Amino acid sequence: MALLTVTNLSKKFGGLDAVSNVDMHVDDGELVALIGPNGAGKTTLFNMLTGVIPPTSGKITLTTATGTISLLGHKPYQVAKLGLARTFQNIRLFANLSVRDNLLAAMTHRYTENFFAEIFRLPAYYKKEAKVGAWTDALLREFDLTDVADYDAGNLPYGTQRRVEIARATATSPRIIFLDEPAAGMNPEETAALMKLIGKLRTDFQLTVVLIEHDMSLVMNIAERIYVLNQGKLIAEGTPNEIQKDQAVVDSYLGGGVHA
Amino acid sequence: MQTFFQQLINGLSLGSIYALLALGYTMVYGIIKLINFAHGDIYMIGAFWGYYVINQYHVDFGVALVSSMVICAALGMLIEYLAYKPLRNSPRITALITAIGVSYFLENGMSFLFGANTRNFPQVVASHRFTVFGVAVTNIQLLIVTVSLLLMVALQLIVQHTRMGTAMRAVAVDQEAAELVGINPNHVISFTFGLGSALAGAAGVLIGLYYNSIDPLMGMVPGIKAFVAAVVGGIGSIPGAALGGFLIGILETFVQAIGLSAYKDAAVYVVLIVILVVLPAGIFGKNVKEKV
Repeated sequence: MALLTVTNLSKKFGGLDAVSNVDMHVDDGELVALIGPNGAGKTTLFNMLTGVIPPTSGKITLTTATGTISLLGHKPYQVAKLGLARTFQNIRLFANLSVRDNLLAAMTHRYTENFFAEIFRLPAYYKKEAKVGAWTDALLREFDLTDVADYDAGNLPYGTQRRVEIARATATSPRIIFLDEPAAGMNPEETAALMKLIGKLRTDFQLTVVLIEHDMSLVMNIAERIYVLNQGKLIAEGTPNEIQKDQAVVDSYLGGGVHA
Repeated sequence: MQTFFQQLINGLSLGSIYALLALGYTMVYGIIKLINFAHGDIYMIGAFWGYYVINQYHVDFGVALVSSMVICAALGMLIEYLAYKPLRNSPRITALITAIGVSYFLENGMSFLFGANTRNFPQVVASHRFTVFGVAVTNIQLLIVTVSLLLMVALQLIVQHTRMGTAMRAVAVDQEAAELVGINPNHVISFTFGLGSALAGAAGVLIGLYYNSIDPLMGMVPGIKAFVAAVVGGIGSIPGAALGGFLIGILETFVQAIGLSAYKDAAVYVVLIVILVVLPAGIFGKNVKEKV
């Protein structure tokens, strides 16, 4: 079942066709990778999918329990409420908030209790607070962040910040998580750990994952389906095996000697 | 030495008023990078509301204070909704000029509706003076400092320990990232204006009680001084604004005490200039890296 469907999506910046006529779909529970050379329009596509920038033309629809809805015209916070979460190519944590507060900030929309109940600590507050606390603790544990929970996120090592960002996106209780170059700047061990973490997102949190990544060993290892974007156009779609044999992809992006 | 402590007490009282006002400036700046020049006028409205309910309904101090905070919070949110929200994506200077316009609107609107004359604020709390170690303290001064400190503690608890406070801090760091984790920035901005304006309303009632006189232009100079206080403390920083407020209040009182009453305002602005030259980010301010 297609969870997310993109039809004929285009984005022009002035005279530049950043993304043109892209059709793609993401099935429930799938792990889809989006690859392509720098400037191919991958992040622009992510930005349109998460409501940050409006497309010039085309459609984005999401299948929900109550039917299929268009994501166009929704503000980013509404898109987040509908179950799309993302991380950024250059990490964008709430740097001077603790790791725990970063996660709590991401739960605001799920647990907006009555402000007065919160101020005066009414029973309604404690009921919700127990839930929020348990969910936060579980996330901290799952993402191996319990020890740094009270540290300012901005002071953590790079690899840990990446984990916090993925944990924060997961804290919004999404259905689809978009990861924009999660392995950028990571050493091989960190990348291996990241691979496990992405596996966990799917098994433990039942998330559908869409991934932009340049680390081809990571992509070829974990992606079920790959879309290849070049100069704003989709040039190929298929399993990692098919993509590695695709002449157009090899020419424009992978080059000659790629081994997964 | 006795004079020193005497002036310190006076300075702390005045300083708590500035601190309450400075908090509103700093919070709004922290969230949407706007210097809300109409903030001093919210404080004026707060004082007039206190004047009105005490004279009209003979309520006590507590009711006047709390109702003024509620009214001012609502007014602050309304102003944000009508005047600043439509300009959310405009250049910052547009919103700044609008803030000055709102300030004039409130000052002249109040003069037009209720007259520009100065009125006596009803002394709803009888003033007692008592002497501790040779230093004269009035119960009103104690009341001002106590209420201000309590409000600052409450503010700190709201900002640090409620979900809305967490959302506020998140939006202050990175509004777009906050939106992408499901935080509605409009709610947060509106809430911030409400919170800041409530503090201004409280400050208005307190100053009415302290100085005993109110008029529609009373918000101008304290508004600017509170802005200076926020800059001195490091604009965007909540503890900074509180500290800056007390520092400016104490400075002003001491300048007056050494016989330079005529220069008390000038002294505050000199401090602003010195701070901007020596420590542009303020006492608690960070030199924030520009986001790319």
